Amino acid sequence: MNRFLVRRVIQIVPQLAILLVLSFALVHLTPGETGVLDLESADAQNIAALREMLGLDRPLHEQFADWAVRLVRLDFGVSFIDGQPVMDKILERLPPTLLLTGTALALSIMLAIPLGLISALRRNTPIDYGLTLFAFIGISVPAFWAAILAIITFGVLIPVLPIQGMRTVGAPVASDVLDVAKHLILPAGILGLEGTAALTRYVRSSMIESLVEDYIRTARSKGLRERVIVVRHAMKNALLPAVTILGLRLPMLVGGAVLIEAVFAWPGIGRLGLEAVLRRDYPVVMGLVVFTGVLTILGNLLADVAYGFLDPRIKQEA
Amino acid sequence: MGVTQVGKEVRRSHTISRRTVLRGTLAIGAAALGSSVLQACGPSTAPSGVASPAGSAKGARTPSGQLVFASRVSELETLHPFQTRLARAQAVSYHINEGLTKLSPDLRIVPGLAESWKVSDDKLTYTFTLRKNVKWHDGQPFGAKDVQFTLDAAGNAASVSPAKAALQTYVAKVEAQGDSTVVITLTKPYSPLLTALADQLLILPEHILRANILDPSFAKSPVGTGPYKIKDRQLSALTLEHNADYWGDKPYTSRIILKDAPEAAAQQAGILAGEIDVAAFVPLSMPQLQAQGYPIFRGVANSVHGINLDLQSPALQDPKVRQALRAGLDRARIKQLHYTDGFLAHAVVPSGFEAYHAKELAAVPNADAAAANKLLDDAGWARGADGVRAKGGQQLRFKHYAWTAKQWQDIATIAQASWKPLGIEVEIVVTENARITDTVSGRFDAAPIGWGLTSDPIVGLDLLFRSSDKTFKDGTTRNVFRYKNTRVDSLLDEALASADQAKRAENAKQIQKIVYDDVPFIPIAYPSYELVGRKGVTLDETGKGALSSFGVGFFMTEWRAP
Amino acid sequence: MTATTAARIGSAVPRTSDLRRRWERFLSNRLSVAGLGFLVLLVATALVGPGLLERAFGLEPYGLTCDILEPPGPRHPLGCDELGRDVLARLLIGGRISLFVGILVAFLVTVLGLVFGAIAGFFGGSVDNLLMRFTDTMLAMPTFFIVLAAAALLGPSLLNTVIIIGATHWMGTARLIRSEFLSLREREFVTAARASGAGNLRIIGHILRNVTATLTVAATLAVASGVLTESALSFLGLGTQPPDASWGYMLSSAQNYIWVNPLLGVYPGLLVMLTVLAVNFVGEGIRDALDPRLTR
Repeated sequence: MNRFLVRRVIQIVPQLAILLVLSFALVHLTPGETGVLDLESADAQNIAALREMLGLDRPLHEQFADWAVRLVRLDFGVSFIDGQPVMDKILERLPPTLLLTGTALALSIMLAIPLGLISALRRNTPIDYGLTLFAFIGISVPAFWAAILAIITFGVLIPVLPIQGMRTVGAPVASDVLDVAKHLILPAGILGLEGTAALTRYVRSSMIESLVEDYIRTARSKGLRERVIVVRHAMKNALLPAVTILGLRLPMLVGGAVLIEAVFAWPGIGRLGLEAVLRRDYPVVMGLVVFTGVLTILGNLLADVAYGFLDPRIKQEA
Repeated sequence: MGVTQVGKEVRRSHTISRRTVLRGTLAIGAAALGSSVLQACGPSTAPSGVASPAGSAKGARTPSGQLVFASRVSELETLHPFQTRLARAQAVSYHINEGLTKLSPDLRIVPGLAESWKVSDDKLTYTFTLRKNVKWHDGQPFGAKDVQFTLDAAGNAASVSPAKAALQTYVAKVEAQGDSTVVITLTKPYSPLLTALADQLLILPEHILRANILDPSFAKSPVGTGPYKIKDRQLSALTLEHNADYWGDKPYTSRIILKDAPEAAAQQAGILAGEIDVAAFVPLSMPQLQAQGYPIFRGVANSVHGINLDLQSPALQDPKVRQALRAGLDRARIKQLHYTDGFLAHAVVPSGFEAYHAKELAAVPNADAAAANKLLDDAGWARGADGVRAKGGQQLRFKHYAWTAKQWQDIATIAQASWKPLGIEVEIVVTENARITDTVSGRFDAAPIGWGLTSDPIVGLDLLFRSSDKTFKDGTTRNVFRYKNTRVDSLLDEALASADQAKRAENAKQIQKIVYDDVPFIPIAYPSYELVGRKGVTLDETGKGALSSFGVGFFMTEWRAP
Repeated sequence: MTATTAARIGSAVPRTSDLRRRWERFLSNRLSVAGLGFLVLLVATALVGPGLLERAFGLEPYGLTCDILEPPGPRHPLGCDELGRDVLARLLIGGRISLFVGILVAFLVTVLGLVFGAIAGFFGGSVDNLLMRFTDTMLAMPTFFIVLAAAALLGPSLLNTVIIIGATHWMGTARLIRSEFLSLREREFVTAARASGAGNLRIIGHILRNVTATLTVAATLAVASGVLTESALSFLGLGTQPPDASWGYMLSSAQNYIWVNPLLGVYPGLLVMLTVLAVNFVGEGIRDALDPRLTR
């Protein structure tokens, strides 16, 4: 285990390097560069600040080195639009995003594991078909469309839920938790159902796979009761996909859900990113890519470690 | 104030950057140099040294109630007057920090923190007498030291103030004399100074920012002298509370909440659900809203939206082609879609300027394919094998630009679809808003834009149509069409030199007629910006001019909660 | 996350070339057949529909043929959009663009995934390590956000949309192919080929023949993610540009008019959903038909 851990930790060094190069390239290798910035999005001073920050007059490798050094010192620069430090802007948006994506993820996992299990155990029965259909529809519905339908339904036709933002303005602080929870229902619900669909399929196929594994057959041939087999052996394997999906969804967890946040005016990282992109706020764009990238790489590291504990076979291959 | 470019802004946000207004103003300043007649019109020549009409009404209003405005709170993260770059942030900032002068709700220059001022005969020395007993929101007294501090900081080398360039070019020194007198000495006359003082050089508290002018906590929660102060800041809402010690007219509403609601459809949902009090709406839903009894607020139609044509573009050099483009364009459709309650445009000067507006041009045909085809046939543009008309080797193919906002893309799309049956092939090029200035300063063929004429139409016409070799980018002209006509130039000269309103109006109409025949610009509509309110919300009459020009949130003092 | 995970999840290796049996198995999956039928219909309509519609009924997607938001009627079965263009004609032409993007994306994803996966899996060792670290890093980036940024920076266009989506969605395929290669290169037929003096290229060719099934499934699913991502991108105004129509673009325009005509926002979304659903069913059917474990 230790050797695996050490190797895995060392692996993130090249990953981080690649991440930096990619984010740098994203802004520097696209045509137009800073020439597109005009008076409205950034005026002369901003352009000067940008040139200084990016050191645009110097060779690319020097620019990159400088930028990387600043990043290590957690200096992400300041926004072109309002002069606020990029890091502050990101950290400010992180809690709402974590609240939204975390709730959605929790919802997905809580729904998907039992649904996936049932689907696998009742394979090729009407229940399985129903769940499969549900999962496929969930995967296929564009989330933003579902969001619009939800707004029409719950905001207008049966106006029972708030459809915009995270809080009721001017509401007393005492009701805050309940208020935020109400605002959370639609965005987290839609995001969560989308995730549930994918995860249910995951759990199902993984369970089916493990139910035919040799050791389960052995257990069965030993005459163990089906329930014991499922709970003791197969369930443990079903946790693996949960960890896996957690890893796969990590970029969303910290990067926010751009579309859902945009449609529901949720003040998270996704919207910050969308607005930065639309306004060509390069420091924020680069900062966000690096920030979410680093957190995801670290998150994946954790997921792998967790995986290593859950599944001893991993050691040999990783 | 002349012409402002409104193409930059998303229509559904109903806002125009005040900085574009100032750029208009700057240009007028340049045009006005040596032309003393202009004294009669622009706000920059408001009578000096009069007592404040604003101050006299003090105490007449008792602020009460609360209003929730739809906004984009992420644009309000900094409200430091030096750093605000977006119209909405500037509009909010204007209610917190104030200048020596102010813009009244009907857009005149009125005394602000200076209760009066004197201008020397050579127009180089401005002596401001400051209002006494004005307090910052934190209770500290306001004084001449704050003014000197702010103007010095705005003009110094490290400044990020939008007025930096103007200060460095025109201002020799700023001197506080005692506690309540400030003297500004110019290097050369600069007529937009009073306007710049009203909306760009908002005065900052020296006692807070002495150490760091760009103090980030100040940027988040600025301290000013204005009618509103910041009460609470959240990610999805910014709450303003009225300043009980305000020196001037109190606002009607005691608390204003700017709620994050980025999309027009969502804003409308907010109105219907009662979450929002004042918002924009999609023009097509107006009948529905009106039927349900929601009050609609309209501004004065003082701008004209339309399509600019580049007269040097090879396909557009023939005036008959341009006339055909105008005749064939389905302007009524565009109007219905985006300017429901506006007026279908024909002349360049909007109908809001009754005396100057050339009503007699009203008979422009709409989507008249027969007329357009006839114009083209008669001028010798024949259809080629591919259906596209050509003459002398030049095909009628060109680019039609559009900007990020849907409104401009719809205009381009309708233009393309209207012109295609005429044998004119248009390629739509969508370019981000940030590139508008670049685009219309260069070769662009056709590009939609709105021109706001905020006060004197003659100044506006002068900026738009005087023969010029300059580009839009250098700020002294709006003649993006590269239009040259000596007759227009001399009519402009006459009008600028005349104080006779009838004569000026007559010339304006003649210019509109000439421009109508030459078609450097295809007018589409005179928008009258519209907002919807929750039932019972009202807007003071004087605030409507500002609504046209500045959109949601501007002159928040004039809105009344139910 | 490591490559192991991918290897565990989807390994569908055909060991025989009994296509007929597989086809029969595919046919036995009703949902997949329905999906395939729908897709065939959709492609056919996208190809010939717009032309037919224009010739037979004079309905074309770009002309201002009716009033703004005209309700459905005999001339315009689904009514008209906010500019006064026939919605049915636009849905059809929009389907053409959505499908075109989806298929091109799938092609790009397959090529990129194959190249990365095959090289990494075949050579293994440090080549594998490097390529997989790159792949993992790409997976760690906030994909949709990168797509947005790239679309905004490069300027929106159909080609850019395809390139950007393709360039950010190949990683899953690459890992799948890699794991196939890792296991296949130790197989007897490879050893035999090597023993008979075959070069690397030939051996890769041999292995390739054995991963076509996996590739087919991956490519099918890539069509789905291509269609979905394009619609999301166009919804935010960074994909399809006017006067073209794609379903995502139509949804984005419709969003403004949900108060006036909510149905405008229902049709294109429904079509995106049905298309992606059909593609997924077909993918599932192919996977089932090819997965040897189900025959046990």
